[in-house]
Amino acid sequence: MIKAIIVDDDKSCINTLEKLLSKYCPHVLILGTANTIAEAIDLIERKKPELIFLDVELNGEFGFDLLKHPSAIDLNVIFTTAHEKYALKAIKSSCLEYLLKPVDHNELKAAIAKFEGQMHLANNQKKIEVLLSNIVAPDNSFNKIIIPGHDSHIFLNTSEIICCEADMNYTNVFTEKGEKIVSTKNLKEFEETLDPKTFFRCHKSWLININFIKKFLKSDSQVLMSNDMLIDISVRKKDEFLNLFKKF
Amino acid sequence: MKHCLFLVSCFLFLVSNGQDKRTVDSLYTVSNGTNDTSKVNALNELSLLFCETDNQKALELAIRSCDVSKKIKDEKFLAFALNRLGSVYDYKNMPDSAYFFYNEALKRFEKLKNISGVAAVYQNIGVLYFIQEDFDQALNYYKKALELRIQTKEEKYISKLYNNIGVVLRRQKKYNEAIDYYEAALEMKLQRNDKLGVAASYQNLAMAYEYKNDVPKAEEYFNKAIALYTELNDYADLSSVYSGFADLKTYMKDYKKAGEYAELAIEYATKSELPDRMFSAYEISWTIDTLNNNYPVALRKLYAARAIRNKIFRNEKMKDVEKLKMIYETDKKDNEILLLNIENETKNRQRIYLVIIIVSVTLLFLTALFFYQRTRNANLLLSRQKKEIEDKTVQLQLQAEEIAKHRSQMNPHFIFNALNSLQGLILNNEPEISITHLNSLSKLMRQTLNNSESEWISLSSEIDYLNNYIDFELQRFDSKFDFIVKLDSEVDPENTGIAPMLIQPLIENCLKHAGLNSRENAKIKLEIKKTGNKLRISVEDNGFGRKSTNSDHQSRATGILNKRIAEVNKKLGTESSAGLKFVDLKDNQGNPVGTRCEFEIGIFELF
Repeated sequence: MIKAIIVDDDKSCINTLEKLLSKYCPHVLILGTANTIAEAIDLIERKKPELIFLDVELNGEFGFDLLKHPSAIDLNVIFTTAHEKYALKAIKSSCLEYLLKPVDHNELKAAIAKFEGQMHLANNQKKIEVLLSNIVAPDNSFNKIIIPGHDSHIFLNTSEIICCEADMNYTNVFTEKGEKIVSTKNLKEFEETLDPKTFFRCHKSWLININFIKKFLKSDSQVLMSNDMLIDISVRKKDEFLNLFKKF
Repeated sequence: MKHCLFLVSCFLFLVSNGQDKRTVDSLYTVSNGTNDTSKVNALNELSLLFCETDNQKALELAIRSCDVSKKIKDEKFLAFALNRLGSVYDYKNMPDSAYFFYNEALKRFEKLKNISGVAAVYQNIGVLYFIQEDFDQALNYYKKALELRIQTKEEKYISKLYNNIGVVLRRQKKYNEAIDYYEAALEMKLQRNDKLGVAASYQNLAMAYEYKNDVPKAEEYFNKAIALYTELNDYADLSSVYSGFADLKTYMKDYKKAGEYAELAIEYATKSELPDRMFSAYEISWTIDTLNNNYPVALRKLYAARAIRNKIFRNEKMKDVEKLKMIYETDKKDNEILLLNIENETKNRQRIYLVIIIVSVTLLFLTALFFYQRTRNANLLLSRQKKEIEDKTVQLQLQAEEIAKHRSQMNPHFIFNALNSLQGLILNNEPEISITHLNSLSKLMRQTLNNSESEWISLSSEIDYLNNYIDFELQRFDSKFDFIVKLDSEVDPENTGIAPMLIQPLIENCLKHAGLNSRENAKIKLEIKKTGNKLRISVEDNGFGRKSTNSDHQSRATGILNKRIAEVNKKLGTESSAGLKFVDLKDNQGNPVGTRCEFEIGIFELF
């Protein structure tokens, strides 16, 4: 049994989610609902839920702000959002769960299952920290990222990443410390999450951090990274790549 | 009968019958004036005048007098006014209220150390007790008043008080003491040579001695009084004295003399023309005639008395009428004053209205001027802004055109039809299917939005999108058809970019116009081949063919598509080909077995 609350400024959204939960995830018990952050804090303090369904945009309030409150700091959260692109990016960067409205019941079931599977992982607070740090970062320049692996999450500063390699639907992340982290996210998602001013998609299979480029090999159209990896620059991307350095 | 004589003399100082209309008018004028002190005086006087005729009016006036005194904060006037109020209540026969106000007046006079005032109030309180027949208290207050009047040496009041005390004592049957006071009064009147007063004292003394059974003394004083009144030609009082004398003679059983005096009383009463007097004279006279056994005369006098009584009654009626008349007059005056006030107020109001109108008009004018100025400025600004907007609009239009070149929106028809079928599902109470349907639609719309933001999307994204679209449509029509994608092995779907929403309209076309819904083994085949530096994209169905369906919408849709294909090819520097090409498929017998639509587009490599 999961004790949960729903925070949403739209009462019909609350109603729909409640109905969906009772139909598809009947073991999720809704202890109460709130329309504002203040109401939500009150509800959390009184009912002590394990999980919050939190709308990102609460009628002028920012749903994330709830997570800054001491009572909510180590609560598990599943965001619900309609079309907030920027917020979605930040959520993705922190590996927190989210549901798009209208909520697909299959995705809902998956999210609940995932929550149940990860309840033992006490890294929620860290995720929220990443989220809150990224949400205030100016356009896409996220400083932190959480990389979802098969059985764990790895917290990284984006400045530690040297490059990312596509590996079928997975991604290999190479770090400054010489690690190779296998992420379950595909390269496209990394490209969307990481700051495009720093990370450059030089190839179908490669995303590189331009701060770690040691050398550009003109003849072979390759770059040498600081960890001595040689990475191809595709023909079509060559001009764009060179333009990046024109300003230097 | 005897009592009334004394009472008259005893209240004389309080009662004023001179309700002369002119006096009332002048007092009214003063009482409505602006001088507050004279106003209070006038009000007090008026109140006194009205005591007998219109008690209510007297009360109102006394109260007004109090108010004005309070307004001007003059304690002395207030004390007088309160004293007046007390006597008004006295007349109204409300002794408790009278006593209260007398006391209030007394307190103030005492505080002001106004001895005359205190004495006047004591005197009034004495009268109040006298009327209530509390003779001890009456005596007490009269004596107090007397003490103060002696202190201030107001002889006029002293003699009156002696007289009053005498009356009280006589009522208490203390005849000797009464005589003492009457004599004291007499002495003072003699000193002042107040002949009328002296005569009245003689009369009082005569009565007192009569009560005392001292007949010689009584006779002596009656004679003295007669002599003095005769000297003064005071017929009324002469009549009264003779009546008293006749009474005395009757008491002495000297009926003959009594009869004579009674005749004289009648004679003088007739001369005085006072009906009251005449009546009492006749009354005494016919009683004495009866005692003289002179019945015919007695009867005649009885009739006369009755006639006079009737006359008195009539006179009283007349008096009442007079009173009413006066009340009417004063009310009229009041109303006139009220009207005048109203008129003044109206004039004032008119003046205020005039001022308001002038101010309003001025304000209106200023406001209008302000707005005119502002509008003029605003117009100048507007025309400048308008030009800027026009310039911007031109720019924006150019930009919009640019954007529209690259992007295609989902057909609104499609969205609303989808919503419509959702509505049907909900109405049919099929929540499971509705939800699935809704999820597909939302996914599709999200994908459309995302894709339309990019100039290029990967072929794999486009195919994914098309699959979702087909899924959605399959759910919607609850039909079965196969969607076959044949991708040339040379084409890398991840690295090949395509402008979004180029293929979807063709598939929608097939679904709409090929009549696939009612067909067994219906299928749509998408084929993507690489030919040189171009992609050949073809969409083929096995429906009824183009001819049998409406082609109007189709041509418009294809028009837009042709335009976009041309633009993309131009941008990529690809040799522009013919654009969309429709091929009607036929079987061996020449029957339509479907349509194929194909176009060629330049290859854009993403990486």
